[in-house]
Amino acid sequence: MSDDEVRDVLVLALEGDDPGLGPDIGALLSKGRRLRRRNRIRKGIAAAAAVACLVGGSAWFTGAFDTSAGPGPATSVSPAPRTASGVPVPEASSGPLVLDPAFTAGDARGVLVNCIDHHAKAAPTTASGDPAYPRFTERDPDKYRILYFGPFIPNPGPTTWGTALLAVDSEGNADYCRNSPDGWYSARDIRRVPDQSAARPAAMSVARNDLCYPDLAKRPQPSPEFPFRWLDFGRLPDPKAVRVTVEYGGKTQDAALSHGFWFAAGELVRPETYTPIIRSYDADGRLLYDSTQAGPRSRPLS
Amino acid sequence: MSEKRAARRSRGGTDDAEFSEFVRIVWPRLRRTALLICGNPQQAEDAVQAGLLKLYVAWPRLKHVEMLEAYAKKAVLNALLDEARRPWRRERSGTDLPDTQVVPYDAPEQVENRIAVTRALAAVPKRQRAVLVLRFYDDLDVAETARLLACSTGTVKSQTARGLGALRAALIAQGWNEERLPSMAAALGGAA
Repeated sequence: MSDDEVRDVLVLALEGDDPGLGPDIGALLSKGRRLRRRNRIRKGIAAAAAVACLVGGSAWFTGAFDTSAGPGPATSVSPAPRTASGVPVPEASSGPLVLDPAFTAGDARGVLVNCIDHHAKAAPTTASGDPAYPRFTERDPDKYRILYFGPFIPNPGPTTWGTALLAVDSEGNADYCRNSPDGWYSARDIRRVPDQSAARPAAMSVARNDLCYPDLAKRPQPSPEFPFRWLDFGRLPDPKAVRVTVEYGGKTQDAALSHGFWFAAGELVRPETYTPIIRSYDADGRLLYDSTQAGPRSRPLS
Repeated sequence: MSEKRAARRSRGGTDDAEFSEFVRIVWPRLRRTALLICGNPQQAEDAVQAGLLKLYVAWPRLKHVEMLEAYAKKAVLNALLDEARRPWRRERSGTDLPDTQVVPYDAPEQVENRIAVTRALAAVPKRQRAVLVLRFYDDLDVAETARLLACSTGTVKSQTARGLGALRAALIAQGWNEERLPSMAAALGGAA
């Protein structure tokens, strides 16, 4: 193959790729600041530990410490207080907004705690020494609002294995976590909760036998196997909204509403060429928002 | 003390503005490179985000402005190649994510060609694919590619040769033959 042929192949592989709206720079900066803060705290702890080692070492050397008492209680460092940036602070968890009937709110909270613990214990750096991508950085489970808890595989086992959890913290960062036989892990980073008033891009991604993520920067994916499950969610900027409908796959459903968020999930049986259409209404039934009017990218592609 | 804090805050604000502008400029390029290497748009964006996050943390210490994009690319490559080694990335749990995108108004042969090359690329081992993308899509020379992938120039050359062989074999397995590539080029020309 000539160099030009290879270039043609690579360019062709990218053809039709839709870069979407680009990065959410606000979310990136927010996470970056948290990571910097975390690194500073870690460095502070390391420095303190080094000083303690030096002091302890010299004390041991001089025989000044009684080491028979064993280690003292572990100290923890609380994360720096954070402020909500335009997102309603989730109230102390009163149960998921959407809960699969096979499970209880207690199951969901237990899974959330596991997810937080799992990520708190995760190595701060990756195998290559880079900082690990922060997930579930808010350590207090009460600071999260669970938007969804339910199975991500068709027939979850008798325990909560095979379940997925979608939670949003007080800054509007959504984290998605699902379990595996060897422990809890976050399947992907969903970034900030989309604002309903923002122009919505053209479609969402799909996945067979799994939840479909609200990937707002994507056109429909090819040849998914049907049926597949999708989810979409957002926040309600307009407090007057008492009803939100989501139209997708030829069906319109009412979204679940709570604490300033809406959430909807469903199953597609055939390909779609547009994003879910979101509409919100006030108590008198007046249309407050229609995503098809929000911008060209929100309109159906065909 | 308060002056120092104010200066730091002011510097932080400048940093953020500069970083935001930098992200706006490099995001599309980094995303395309990452997408070619991993084949999955979401994973590509995650890797770019992770790489940029790493860059943001180091931003105040970075002095060589002309090297910023190279730093970013290296961070993204690390994230991509590192992500591939994570156990949960290997796990599927019944999920089979689609590997390419379909634009509804594409002609069927365009879609067919694109799916063929996407699958062929996916069949090339990831490290070799990264070398091919950096060499032939990003137009980097052997030395720059070696620096980004933290390997020797000899490794880059051997990975290039192996990657080209693997890509060719994979294209043939997808039904490609010597006459087909010109039709791809024509399809590209038609699309442009």
